[in-house]
Amino acid sequence: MSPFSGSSAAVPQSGDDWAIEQTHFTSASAMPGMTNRPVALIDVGDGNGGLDHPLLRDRTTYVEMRLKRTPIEGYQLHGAHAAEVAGVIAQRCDAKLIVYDIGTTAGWDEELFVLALQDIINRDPRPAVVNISVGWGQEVPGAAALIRDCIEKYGISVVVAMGDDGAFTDIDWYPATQSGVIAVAGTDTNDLPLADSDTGKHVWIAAPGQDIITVVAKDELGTRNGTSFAAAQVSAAVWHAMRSNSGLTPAKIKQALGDSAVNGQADKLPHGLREKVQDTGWNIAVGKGRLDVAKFLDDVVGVVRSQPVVVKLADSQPTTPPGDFTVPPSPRSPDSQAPRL
Amino acid sequence: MSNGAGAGPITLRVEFSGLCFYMIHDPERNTADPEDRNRGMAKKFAILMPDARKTRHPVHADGYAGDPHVGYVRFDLANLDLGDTGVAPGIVEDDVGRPRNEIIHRFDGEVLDFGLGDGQVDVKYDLGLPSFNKFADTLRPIDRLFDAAPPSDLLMRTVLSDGEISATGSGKIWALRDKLNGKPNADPYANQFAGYSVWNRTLQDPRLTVTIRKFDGTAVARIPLKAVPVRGLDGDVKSMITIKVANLCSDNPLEWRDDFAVRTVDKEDKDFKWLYRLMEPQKALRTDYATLLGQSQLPYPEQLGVQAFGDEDCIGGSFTTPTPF
Repeated sequence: MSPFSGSSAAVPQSGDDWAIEQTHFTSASAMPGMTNRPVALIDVGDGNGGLDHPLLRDRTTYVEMRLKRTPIEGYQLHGAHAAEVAGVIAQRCDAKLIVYDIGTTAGWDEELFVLALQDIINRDPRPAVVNISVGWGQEVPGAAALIRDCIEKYGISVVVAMGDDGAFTDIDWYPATQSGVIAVAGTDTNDLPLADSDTGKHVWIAAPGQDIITVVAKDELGTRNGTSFAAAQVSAAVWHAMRSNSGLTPAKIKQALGDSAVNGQADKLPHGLREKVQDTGWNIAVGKGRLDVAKFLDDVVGVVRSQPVVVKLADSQPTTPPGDFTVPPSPRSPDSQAPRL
Repeated sequence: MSNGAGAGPITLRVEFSGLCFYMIHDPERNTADPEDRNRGMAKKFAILMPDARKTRHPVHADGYAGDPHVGYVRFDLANLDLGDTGVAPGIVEDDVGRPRNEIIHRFDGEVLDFGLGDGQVDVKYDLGLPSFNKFADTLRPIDRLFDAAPPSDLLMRTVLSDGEISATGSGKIWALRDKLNGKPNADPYANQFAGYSVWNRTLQDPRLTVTIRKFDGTAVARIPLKAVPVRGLDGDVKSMITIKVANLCSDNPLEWRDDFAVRTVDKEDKDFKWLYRLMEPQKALRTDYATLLGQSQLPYPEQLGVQAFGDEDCIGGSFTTPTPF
């Protein structure tokens, strides 16, 4: 099934969405699937109707984390950010989505963030990837160990937006700063670093973050800007990889994302900025480069589409594949491990 | 049809952006309920703009100066019903979009009349906008806002009829201080607030004449419009008339975002203070802004905590009353 086929007529047609085309998400439609672990989003806002959009309605579970704690500080946050981020993922993959709303009118709640991470770890099946398009100016107590467990113990990739308060600021957003996560910056329609995207030594990869088409209301698509939506695209790419090869570890996925990224954005920057960014195959603006889903999936899953191979399913999978799924098991070829500088 | 509109219902879609003051007559709503959302069915729904042009005195009641704004209505030339102009309509998206060919009228003390019967049918509303009832309940709208000779701080007014208007916040959480509340808020008044709203109304007639006239009824301008097929981002084609009504910073006020950077609110929206020009302390309190505020500033949306995710246009505000106006 095409990743877009579950999305009804509301999906932008080819040619409409520059970000989907530039990152070659359309090629992911040809990827065979094996597992179907969900994508979890830790975000803010009740969607304000957006979670009822046809793209999201039948595949999204909304978890109002506010109700999981007493006494409750603040009221429910009414807003669309969570639905907007979910809408980006939904246009790029078939994944079931679990949306954790950690926002209250008293703020983006640190304790609820920790509770959401715990819930993700305890879910069955565990999500393949967690998208975090929120952040704090300092580490959230109790979160670091849970994020580390997600990545190292439970095979859950953690994708985090870098933040949008501009380049060369003093603030580094958590959990984008945590080791092991995939910290995502934004690029613009010229494939340059997005003006408001945060920079930092922790950035790993970038993805389009300008004029990104997504759900903005119950029956409406619109465009949004920012690293929140860049991260969502990387999360969708990770989901495709995990669906096709459930044996991949978050570390391998992260490495492959970086190795397959399209580099050179920094070379296109004007003098002044270019020297600040100092591109050496990795740079503080876009990390290893901009997401390229086709290269990533070719590398990480090793698909030879003309010669599909039936693979042995992972232990956790049913002994008989549902349908005629055929997936090549081969890892990336050794030479493709080399960074593309 | 020669005008390009297909058979079937027509969608009139109007975006209201920036410094707009939403006056709502809704006797059913309990704004004192802390869980109350800014939603309901309005018996009357009016949108007013404060005059924030550079010709106005820039200093607010708290002694701080405001940046100038320009209020305007924008039509898509493709919607103009004056024969075949040959132009294609602009893209329509959440914030109405970017027509290549725009017709602009800058407001100057005028009524915008959509020709659909002011306030004759209830309007469904769901506004992710700050509600003055929640954080500044000592205030009321100034008198004569709907008179033929309203106060000079009023730049434009319009009254909607029927349809649905909504404004959805996203991203950052904005909070407003309660300095103008009769009693302090037990909890902070905060939410994801929106920078624009969209009013959708279904029409049966593909033609519509919008009228702009001075408050006293003179200097009438009639804009004949027709529905044209418009393709949305979702790929659906609808017969639409699209209009944008905005009161935005005089820095790329037309929001030509393909060409220039669009100004968004960063950390705080002090432009919000212009809205207080259309409000005043309740007469029974026998006081003024200076007394109520002391050394404080007029409340404005401030980013709650440190956040870096999601920006908005200038944020409008609403006032709901059980009393007809």
